[in-house]
Formats: sequence, structure tokens, C-alpha cells
Amino acid sequence: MSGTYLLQNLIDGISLGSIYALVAIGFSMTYSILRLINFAHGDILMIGAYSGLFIMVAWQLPLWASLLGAMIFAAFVGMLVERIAYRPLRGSNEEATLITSLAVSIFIENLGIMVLSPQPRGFAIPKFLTKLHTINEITISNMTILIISLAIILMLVLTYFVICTRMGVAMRACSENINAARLMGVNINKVVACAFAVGSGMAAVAGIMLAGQYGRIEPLMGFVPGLKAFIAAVIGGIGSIPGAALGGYVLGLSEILLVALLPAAYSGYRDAFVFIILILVLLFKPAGLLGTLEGRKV
Amino acid sequence: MKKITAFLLTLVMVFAMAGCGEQKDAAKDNEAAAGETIKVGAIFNLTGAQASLDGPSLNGFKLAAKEINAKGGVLGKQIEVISIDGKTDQTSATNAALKLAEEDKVVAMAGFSDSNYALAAGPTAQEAGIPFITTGATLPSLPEQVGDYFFLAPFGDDAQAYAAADYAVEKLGSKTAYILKDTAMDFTMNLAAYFEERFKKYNGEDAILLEDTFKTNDQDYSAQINRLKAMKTKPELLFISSGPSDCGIIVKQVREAGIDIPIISGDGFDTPLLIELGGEGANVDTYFATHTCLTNEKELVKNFVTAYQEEYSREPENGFAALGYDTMYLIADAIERANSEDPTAIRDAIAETQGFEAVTGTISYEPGNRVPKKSVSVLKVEDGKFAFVEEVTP
Amino acid sequence: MLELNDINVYYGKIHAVKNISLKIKKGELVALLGANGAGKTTTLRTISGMLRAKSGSIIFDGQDINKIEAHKIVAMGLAHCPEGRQVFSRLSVLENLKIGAFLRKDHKKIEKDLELVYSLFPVLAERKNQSAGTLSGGEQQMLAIGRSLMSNPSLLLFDEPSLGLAPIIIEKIFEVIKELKNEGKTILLVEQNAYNALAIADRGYVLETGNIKLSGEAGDLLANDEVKKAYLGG
Repeated sequence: MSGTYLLQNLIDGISLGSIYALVAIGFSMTYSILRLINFAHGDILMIGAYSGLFIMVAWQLPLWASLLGAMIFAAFVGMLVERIAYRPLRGSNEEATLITSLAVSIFIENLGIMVLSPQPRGFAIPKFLTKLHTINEITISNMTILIISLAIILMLVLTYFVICTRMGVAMRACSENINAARLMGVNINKVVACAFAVGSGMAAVAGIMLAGQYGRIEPLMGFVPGLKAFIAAVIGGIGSIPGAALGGYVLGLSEILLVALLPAAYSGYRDAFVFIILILVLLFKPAGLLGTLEGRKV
Repeated sequence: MKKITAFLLTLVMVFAMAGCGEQKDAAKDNEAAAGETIKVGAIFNLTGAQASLDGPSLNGFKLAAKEINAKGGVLGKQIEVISIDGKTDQTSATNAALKLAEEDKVVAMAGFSDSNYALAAGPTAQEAGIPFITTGATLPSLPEQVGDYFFLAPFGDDAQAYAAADYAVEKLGSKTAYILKDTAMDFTMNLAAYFEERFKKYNGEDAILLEDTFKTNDQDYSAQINRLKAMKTKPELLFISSGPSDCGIIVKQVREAGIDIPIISGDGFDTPLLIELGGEGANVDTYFATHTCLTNEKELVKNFVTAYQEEYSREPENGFAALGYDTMYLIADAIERANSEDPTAIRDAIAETQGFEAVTGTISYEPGNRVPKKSVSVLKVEDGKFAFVEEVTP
Repeated sequence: MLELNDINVYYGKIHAVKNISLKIKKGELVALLGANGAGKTTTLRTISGMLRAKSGSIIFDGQDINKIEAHKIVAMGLAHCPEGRQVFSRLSVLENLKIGAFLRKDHKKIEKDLELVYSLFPVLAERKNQSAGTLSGGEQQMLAIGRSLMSNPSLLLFDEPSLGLAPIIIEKIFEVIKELKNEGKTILLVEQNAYNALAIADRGYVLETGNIKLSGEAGDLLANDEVKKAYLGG
């Protein structure tokens, strides 16, 4: 095994991890405020990818417009889902919201199958993105560069939003103590809607990146990334935004590196590795890498 | 109370949508009442990873039924196709077979392009004593595993894997190969094993330089590709044993990584997704062995392509459309010869089929063998289309 | 200014507050006394919109606020400083104070109020960039009070501000509450520490198992034998 082999796999792992991280962040945001495990989050990713494709193909707009449009549309859908499915259940136990989110997920997937056909489609990205750069036997496409840098940019923007803006501070306050936040005059519905919008927007970007990288789009495409993002969020410490990002990278890197470093016969078991990593992390850090175990005040 | 209502409402909506899976087609005559039609069950995976093979297959199946009905049906009765979505899920497949046997009382069943699902539905039909012909599952041991009511319409995996190996060695001159196989499907595991066996016979025990694995819908194959790229001795051929939902993405990612070695595979590649998802990459030296080539000049093939185009306003997507079409005719032929609607009589008639001319080749079942001996077509991707290369009988 | 008329509040099936009526006039400091579980906190949470009264009305500044959402009640000028401090421990002291002024847009006035809080509790100014979780219990209580002042309320609800604090800090807290009253704020103070509360209050109510048992001028209550026996350790 050579250094270039390792480096090549590192790059691919970071690229995959970036996508997981973007999805996991949204997952963690809504969990931190509502203690809601939103299994429909992956399906928002699918909606983002399809709307991105629609903007590029039907309206012939460039990629940046498609990204922006998909973010806005997915944010809108995310808020709509929250308003219709989750808000009526606010204050009920976690099991009820969990089951509801599963129902929403099945609903969106079946709606997708009916409206969009169950057949996978190709997702063509602009030519310049498929261009390969080869340095020292390491190949990296413009698409990979875009994925990695876009994820970093979005995370920086999110960091600014959460630390410096009024809504961001309110969001952090809500994630810590939603009732105290209400007493400060924070409109919980607005904060929750905002968290759904931001998380869904990031999922939409992840959806387009995923579809672009692998060239495929289908109504059930969100299921696996949604599940992986949930695992990433748990690895990083569910409810913690930096934890979700870290968990995403850890997961992406370990998936690729384990396949790369173990004998070829084990390559088919990458999803099993994912769960082994999850179990190991939870064994040594039950709250996740960056999470804190805390009692919640009512 | 409000919460419970909302929750129930969501559930109802979900199940209402999930329940849309089943469709009944009175193939021609809508007023055909029960008893006046001959019911034939069709279980295909219309959703999920198998959809791109099974969808066209069902279309071909229904098209044949329509043609037969237009000519007066069989035994003076119209054929009614009862189709259920197997959802690329083994439990759904078993349930579908159970429903067709118990409720609809079909005289024969057909379906599936993958052995896992045929294995899930087959035993139910066997127990009920109803013949099951798989339109596209190619595991040669299937009839032995399921029983004497189970038949293959296509050739077995051994035939297509041998044809691929023969072509690679004789025409492409490959001396060494790399195998990438999906460990989640019996089909891909078997196909790889048969290929390996044949390829080693030609080129010696060390001819397979590396055998790597993945799982259906892994989506990211970069680690495997990196390992392939890092190989000291480069193989002369890539044998990619994958199903329809992965083949395009694998080819795309392999080619994007700058690997130009010829790729060859079996009928899992016979899907529009190879071209749609593989993009430019599929145009580079990509071959596969399958059931038929739709650009073949044979009369039967041309007629089928024209009829399919008229019915569905598009060309048949792949060889599986033809397999579905052939299977319906095969069933109708057996009913006619049995001169009976009794499933056991029909089974016996199927088993006696000899020299049945079909779009995908001539079907004959040798005594005791329920896998037909058929020719294999080798196809190549050219300018975003499947092109015929040669037809062989391995 | 605030008037509760026959309110009934339930926690699930538990009837926590029974037919309570009370009245606070502008500029008054009213103490709400009672043992643990008497319904004091429930009453406060109902006033601030965290809970809904099943029947009865809550009139604040001439408007029934029983059906109004919590954040809108804050906007009307009512601040509730909750039991057990409930500062946002992962936020900095300054962020805690700023979120107190969440609904306000008058930035200059906010800065002024911030200075006011710092002058009441100078220790908060020293620690403004520290996360609130690192403060001592007394400092956290000061932060909680400061935070509730940041919405510039006309009516303040304090829930057990002396709970679990050292006597010297308790003294300081009550001093500040008195000062706030002198500045013209209307205050409803819930306390178990009845002596300290009645010492600064104008009037008082005594709750027992969800009912109002006694009410009257603070001085009269202090002198009342029953109150003495039950709450003043005498």
C-alpha cells in the first residue's frame, strides 16, 4: 500500500463525509430543539435533488441557480412538513413523533414514486465539473472539489448564523431549554420553522451533490443517506451541530478507508462497518464524540 | 384528541398510497366476468432496484396477452393478466404469489428477473400446484430448488457467463481479469463464479488478478476503484457482476477514474440505466451477454419491436421486455396443447415444449430439465445505444 | 394591572389550581406564599402563558391573556423569571442578557438597560463573555433577574429567587427586588421564604393545596398567628 493510495482514499472519504455531514447537521438541529428524530429528513434530500434537476433541465439554469432554488424549495417543503405533521404533535412523547416521521417518510417516498416514477434517472452535471485533475496518480474531479468546498462554506455560514444572529442565538437557547426561551419572548414556532428550513436547505445541497457525484437520482435515494446521517449525528453526539459535522466526516472516512484497507472480500460489508463504528463510539462515549449527557428541564 | 386524529390521518394517507400497488388488467375485454377468462398471474418488481428490468418485462407480457386475445384468445377464452408489484422485496413477492393462488385462482404465474424474488414466490406456486415460469431469473439451479412446477424462460447464468468469458478470451484477447461482484444477490455471485470457472479454464488458475466486492445500491465505489487503480499488474478485462441498479454508476465511476480497460458483464447490464447513468463512460469498451438483441434482423424480433413501439410509444427498453413477451406466448402455447385450464395439465404441457420459436431464441425443455438451452447475444454500447455484436450458443 | 378571576388549572388530571382570584395594582409588590406543591409556580406559569387555565380569566392591562401565546405576553410587558434560574448555561452571560431583549428593536435603549443590569449586578459585567454555566448559583440568579429585566417589563413575576442561595446573596437579591419596586415596576413575588418576602411586599396571598387560604396587607400577614406558625417558624 502506497501513500498515494491512502491519500486518494482520504480524499474520497472526505468527499463522502461532506455529504453525510450536511445531512446530519439538519438532523441534529431539529433533534436538539424538538427531541424529534426526523426520519423524513433524507426524503427532503431527495426532494432537493429532484427540484435541482428540474431547475437545470426544465429551466436551463446554471448549477448555482439550481442549488439556490433547490435550497429554497426544500426549505419550504421542510417547513410545510413541520407545520402539517409535527406541530400538531408538539409536546407529545418522542415515540409518537418518531412514528409520525416514519409515516411522513413513507408518504413522501410513495408520493415520489407516483409522481416521478420509480425508475432511477441520470443526473447530468455541467461538463466542467466532470473534469479530472491528476496529480501524482491521485485523481480528483471538479465535482469532488465542489462538494468538499461547498460543505465547508455552508458550515462556516451556518456557524456565523448560529453564533452571531438573533435567530441563531434563539435557536441555541431553545435547544438548551425551550420553556425558558419561551419566557424570553422567543416564538418557538418561528425558531422550529427556521431550524427545519435551514436543515432542509442543507439537505437539498447534499442531495444535488450526491446525485451529481454518482449521476443518479430516484425517489428512494434519500433513505440510505438519511439513515447514515442519523448514525453520523449519533456518533458525533446527537443535538450538537459541530458533533453532527464531525460524525459525518468520521463516518464517510471510515466507510471508505475500511473498504480500502481491509481485504477485498469484505468490501460488501461497508454498512456493517458503519454499525460497528457506531457501537464502538457509543461504548466508549455514550453521548457521542461531542455530545453531553444532560437531563432536560421541563 | 386533535393529535390522535392528525396521527391517524397521516397513517391512513400512507397506507392509501402504499395500497396503490395492485392493478388488475382485463387484457382486452373489460366485461369479461369471472370464469369466462383464463387468469394468468404476473408478479414483477415494478418499484425498487429491479424496476428497470421488470417494468419492461411486464409490458412485454401484457402486450403478448393483448395480441393473443385479439386473435381470439386460447381455448376460446380471453386471457386476463393479474399483475401485482413485488416491490423488490421478498416478502411482497411471497404474498403476491399466495394471493394469486388462493384468491385469484390463476392457472399459471410468471415474473421476476432476479432469482432471489423467484425463489421467494416459486415455492408458494409449487405448493399450490400452479406452474411458475420466471421470465428473467437465470440461476440454473432454481427449478431443482423450487420443484417440478418451476421453469425458466431464459437461459441459465452459466450460459451467459460462459458466453461472456468466451467472447472476452476469443475476441478481446483478454489474458487476465479483475472481478467486481455484488455480494447481496445470488445472481451476481453465481455469474461471477461461472465466469471465473470458464476464464480460468482458458487462461490458467492465476488469470483472475483480484476479486473485489460491493453490495447492491452502495452507490459509492471509490474505494474499490482506488484498489483497482493501485494494482501493480493491470488486468486486461473487468468483469463487473452487478444488477441493473448499480451497473451504470459503476461504469461511470470506473471511467471517470481514468480506467479504460474493457468491461464485460451479463444480462444485469441489459437496462437503459447502463446508458442513462453510465453516460459517456458506457460508450468506452462496454460489453454484456444477454437474451436477445433488439436490432436483430429476425422476423420475430422485428415484429415484436414494432408491436411494442405501437403499444407503448417507445422502443423496448431491453431484452427483458422480449422475455416477458415470450413467456406469455409460452404459457398460451402450453394451455392450447394441454387443451385444459387445469394447472397440472398446463405444467405437463410446458415441460414437453419443443422447438418453440421465440423472440429470445428457440425454447426446448429437455426431459427432466426445466432450464431451456438457448443462444446468447453479446451486445456492446455504441453512441449511447446497444449494438449487436454476435450470437453464440455456448 | 393584573387580575386573576376564578382560574382553574389542571396538570393532566391533577387539579393544581382551584378558583384562584388575585389582583395586583400598578406599582405594587405582591407576595404569593405557600408550601411546596401549593400551586404557586403553576399560577405563575399560567399567567405567563406556559400553561392554560381551564376556566377563569387573566386580565393584564385590560386584556384577557389566557389564550395568548407566551411570546406575545412577553411583548405586552410581562416578564417571568422562572424557578431554578434556568439560565442558558451554554450561552455567554451577554447572550443570556441579550436574549432577554429578544423582542425589542430599540437598540439604544437595550444598551442602556444592559448598563442598568450591570450596575445592579456588577459581577455580570465582569463575566459577560463567560458561559453562564460557569457562574455560581447566586450569580446565575442575578443573571436570571437581569435577563428578565432586559425585556423592559412593566410587570415582573419572580419565582423563588432565593431558592438554594447563601443568606448574604439572598439579602442582595431582595434588596434589588425592593429597588425595582421603588423604580416603579409592578412585581408578583413567589416565595417560600415568607419573612423576607413579606418584609418588602405591600400585600400578600397565602396558597394551600391550590386554594387561597389568606390574603391581606403584608404587615397584617406577618402578624397573623397562622402564618407565623406555618411559614415563619414561629
